[in-house]
Amino acid sequence: MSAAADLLLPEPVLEVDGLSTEFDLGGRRIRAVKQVSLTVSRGEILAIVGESGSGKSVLLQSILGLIRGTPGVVQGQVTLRVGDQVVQPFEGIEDATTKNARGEITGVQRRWRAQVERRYAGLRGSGVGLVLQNGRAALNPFWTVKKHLDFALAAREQGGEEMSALDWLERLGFNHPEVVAKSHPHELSGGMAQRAMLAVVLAREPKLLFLDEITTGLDVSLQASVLKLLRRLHQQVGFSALLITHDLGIARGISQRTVIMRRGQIVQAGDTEALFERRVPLHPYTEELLAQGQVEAMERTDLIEDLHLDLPKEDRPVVALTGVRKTFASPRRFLVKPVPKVVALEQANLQIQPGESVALVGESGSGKTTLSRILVGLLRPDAGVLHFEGKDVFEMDSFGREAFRRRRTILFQNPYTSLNPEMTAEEVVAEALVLYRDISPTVARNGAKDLLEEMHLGHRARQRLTNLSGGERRRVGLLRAMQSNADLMVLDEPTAGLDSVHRRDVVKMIWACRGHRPERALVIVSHDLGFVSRVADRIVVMYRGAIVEDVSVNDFLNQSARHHPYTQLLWDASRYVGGVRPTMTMPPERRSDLSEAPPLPPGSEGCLYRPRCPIYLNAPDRWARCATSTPNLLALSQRRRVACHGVANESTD
Amino acid sequence: MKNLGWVTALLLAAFFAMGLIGMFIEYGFVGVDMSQALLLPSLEHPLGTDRLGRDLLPRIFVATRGFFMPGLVAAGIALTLGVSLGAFSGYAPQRGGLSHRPLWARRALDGARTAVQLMLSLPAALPRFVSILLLCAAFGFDPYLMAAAAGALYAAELGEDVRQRVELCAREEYVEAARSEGLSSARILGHHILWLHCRPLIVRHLVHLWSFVILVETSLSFMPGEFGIQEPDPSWGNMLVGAREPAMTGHFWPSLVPTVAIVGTVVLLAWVGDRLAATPVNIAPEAPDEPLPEQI
Repeated sequence: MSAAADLLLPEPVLEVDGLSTEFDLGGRRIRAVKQVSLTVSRGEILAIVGESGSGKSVLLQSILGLIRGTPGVVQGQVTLRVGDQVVQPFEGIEDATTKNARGEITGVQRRWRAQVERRYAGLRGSGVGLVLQNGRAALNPFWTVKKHLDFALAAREQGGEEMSALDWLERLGFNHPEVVAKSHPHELSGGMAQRAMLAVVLAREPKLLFLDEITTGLDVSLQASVLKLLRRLHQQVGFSALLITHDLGIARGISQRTVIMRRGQIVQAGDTEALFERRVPLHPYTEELLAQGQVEAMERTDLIEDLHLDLPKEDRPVVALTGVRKTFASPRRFLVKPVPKVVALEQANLQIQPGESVALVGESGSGKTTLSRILVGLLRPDAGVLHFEGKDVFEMDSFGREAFRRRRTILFQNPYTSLNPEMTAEEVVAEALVLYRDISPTVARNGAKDLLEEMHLGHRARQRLTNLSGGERRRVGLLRAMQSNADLMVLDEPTAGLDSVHRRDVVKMIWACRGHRPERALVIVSHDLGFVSRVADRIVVMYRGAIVEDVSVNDFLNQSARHHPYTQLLWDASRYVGGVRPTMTMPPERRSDLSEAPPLPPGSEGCLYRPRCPIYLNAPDRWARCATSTPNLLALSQRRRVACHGVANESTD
Repeated sequence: MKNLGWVTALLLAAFFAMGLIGMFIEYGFVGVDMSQALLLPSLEHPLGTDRLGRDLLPRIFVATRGFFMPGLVAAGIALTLGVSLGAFSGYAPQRGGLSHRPLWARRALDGARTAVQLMLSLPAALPRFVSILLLCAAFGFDPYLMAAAAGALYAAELGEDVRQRVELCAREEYVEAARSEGLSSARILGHHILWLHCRPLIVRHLVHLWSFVILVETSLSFMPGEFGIQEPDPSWGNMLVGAREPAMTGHFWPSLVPTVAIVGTVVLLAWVGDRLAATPVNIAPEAPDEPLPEQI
């Protein structure tokens, strides 16, 4: 493919010219998309990057004519050139709008809306395809994957190569397409459902694909596998695509050109690589976004030096867990088939020193949330001991436990559910002040107001939380948690769902908090490796209820050290998606198997990672003991413990 | 109170004024004067007179004694009983949460919860009005007895609603978070759940209970026999009963006055209750559109 010819004669598939979309929310006018123009050329993937609320999803819906609110699209022209069809759905919109006395557009004539729908009719499915965020929800729960595919294949235009449903599943990287074909959407894992949905959409051979945050709900490892697949398919099938994401790393991994959106406007557009390599002058906002995705060891040391952090080195752990096991069983009910017990945590041993910041990392279901809740005494383990001042917490009486809990604090993941929505921001913070500082409610109220003022939330102090946005709520929650005089603070996914700009605020807050109380230990539960390596001293990697690696952050960043294959996988995955670049390229024999090999249930014999493990899969005969004995955490150096027979063997060699 | 429009607030104030005035009127509502019978409103009798020539204005006011204070008593009973039972039933830890306690404690708690749940659900099986009628037949009529019975029966309904709401809230993550911070159960239940989340619901129930007491009192006066407040003491019910005979001869005015009073008050209270229960919706102001820097 000659790049020069492509640059000279880009054949546009989609042209958007001056598109504006407005909404009317009970008299308040929201301009969600303001005068956006962009072009997608044949065979190109264009990424639109923006934070939530930047109008990128509304833009996509506008282009597809899916806006249901009023007034909807008020201006602009969209031209789709698919095959030999040229469709301009919004042709003549200026004449069809209804206006009020002030000249504002109040809506679009119903007759005209129907006409737009007719213009799209020939295009949907075979001309343009849409892949949504949640594959499981977007597929019909009563249909098997095969039925979806057959339906799509029957609707597709004749001609071209004939492919069956199974062929498509195979092309989408399923190892056992016949099993997947027979499954219903709920029987698939998130990543499989996403790939199944891609298969269903691609089976109609659309020329133009719209991808709306397709990997947002997935774990890092699954994100990477879906993106890799998409890249391969793009080379094989050659579609054009408009990709919407909030993650610059994804845009970099897959798109040729990137458009940065903010508040309904395009702030910058250009060649993806040039943008990331900073070969073009960057808009300040782009600069800000780019700065989020980078992990620089420099920054860490700077922060530590800035704060004159003097981390205590004494060996008196604030938390010591030994042999903790936790299972969940559903309550027995009459005439209901009992669900088998789920093992969430197996043989967990963990010690945390005062002032240490420990990150719990792992995919969803790895037990990191369970572990963090046991640490604060919210969950009672089935076996094992949680030591607190030399005693077992769960043997204490209720007074002892309450005292224990006051020394612990946890910030829950979801700011919508973990703060009482009926309280005002001021009350939330004041309550913590009363609880921890033992001051009168009126003094606390004033104190809370000042604290909120410092966090640039002063104007929200008197508002109930229902009126606050997710990011604002999270900051209020963090502010509340920081007031505690606990000596262990657990932060459960403190950056989940936060815009990249606010993520930086959280990093700063955490360091400020550590500077404020250097003796307090932190436990940070997260799957964002970039974030974690900026705020943690030690990283604990979990897989299916077991701790597989416990490593200091410097050793973690240093990829020449031998890690657990799952840790390597997390790194490999985050290279594609997190904007993090590991210094080492991984040889294929160390790469984990990302296919849908069924994982072993926690609690089963041997190493749980074996179905994905490159060490075991490359030589199952040599590593027979992986199938029979569970590897224990073995100290490979002072700051690194790994639970893997292979790695242990190699380092003793 | 901030979501109570000023019209509603004014009407509510008028209702309270009526009840208070009614308690202090000493005379002028029982004296019979046949020469003044069945008059239409005039300056001397602003609301006209009934078939015995008694002025309707003071009688309408005095009649509020039948339900104003008793309504408050009923509300107090329903509040105490309903909220405490509902809160206990909804907030008491389930069996799993007590696994570290001795078996007898778990059994005792289970028993208590079952008993409370029966107390909350059984009254739903009884027709409320008939139960009050039976009580009055057994012990003789007294406005306060009637109100106490209404309050107790209503407590079940209130308690059931409170229980459901408390149970929902108790499962919320913010309760778990508050518990993990070491906040006391009293604070969590009292402030976070009951005060912040159940208050509108409770207020609405209590206001509705008040109008229920009015209807019961009025209906009792309609029953044959010694039910309700008896002549010559006025009640809105017996005023209506007394006005039936003149209405047959074409004098509608005396029946119109208590009818308007009853319907107006009941509708007013229902409206006030719903307004109080509605959570205020204040849409947050949009962040100002900061000017974008120069495009590159």
